[in-house]
Amino acid sequence: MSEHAALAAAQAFAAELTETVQGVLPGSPSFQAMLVVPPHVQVSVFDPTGKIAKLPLFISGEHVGDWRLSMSVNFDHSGEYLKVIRSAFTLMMAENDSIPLVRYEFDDLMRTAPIAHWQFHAERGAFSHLLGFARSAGKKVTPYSLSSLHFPVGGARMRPGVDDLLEFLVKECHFDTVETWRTSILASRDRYRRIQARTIARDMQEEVAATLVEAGWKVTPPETLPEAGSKFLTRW
Amino acid sequence: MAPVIEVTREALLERRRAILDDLGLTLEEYLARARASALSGREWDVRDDLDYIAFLLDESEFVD
Repeated sequence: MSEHAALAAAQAFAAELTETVQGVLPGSPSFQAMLVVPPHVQVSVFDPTGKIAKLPLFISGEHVGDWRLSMSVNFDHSGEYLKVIRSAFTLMMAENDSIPLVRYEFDDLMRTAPIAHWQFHAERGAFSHLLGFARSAGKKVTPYSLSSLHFPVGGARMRPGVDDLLEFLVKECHFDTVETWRTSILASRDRYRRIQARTIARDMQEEVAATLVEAGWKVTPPETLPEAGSKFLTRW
Repeated sequence: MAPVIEVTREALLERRRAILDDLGLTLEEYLARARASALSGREWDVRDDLDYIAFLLDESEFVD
């Protein structure tokens, strides 16, 4: 893929994000694509200094919370498909406290923690007490910080999409919405899950073919099957 | 189409220097504090910025 096409794909992705987020949350600015040279592109809302901006969240019109979304993208090994390499969603109070309330992260390069995970910036004495046993046994844990735990959520392919994060803000946290929120979330989810389904199909071709044959399709295999799927099957 | 912001490597390196200078930390110190789950509010506030700068610079070490 040419540099021009790569940039155009990243711009289209940013425009899609803008349409989705503005279709759900009031007062949401536009996402932008930042790059040095393609294919590495950062998609976020940036303030004039280049910092990833906090986006406002309202309840009954009052600005009470903020969230931030960071998407680092380039292209998959075939060079044909835009791929999110890292993403981060952070929810925080609107007051002058930048420690997150919750944080969701996806990092395709992660080697230790789960590729997709939530971190909860909360405390529970009993949980710290429990982790203290592991600490006493010489394990590498930080009992005083529940946020040091990474709660796994489905790996690279089954992870939540932006639609799920937005619906969490709407349905669980009850932030103000614009009228189109439901259709915007459903359209985003439809797009995202179709992409994920196609990616799984490319990774798991034998399983997909067998399932289609069972369902009555006629499937002809290629001469050579690409080696794929082990990452999907093994990584948490 | 979404707006595009083109930056140079030098500008990104300068931005990272300014962020860390403001915190009074080196990058190694910041990463160590993150690994120890010891980031303050101000340090959390720049975490995604440090990560995206490292990504655009095609570096391999990110905040964790």
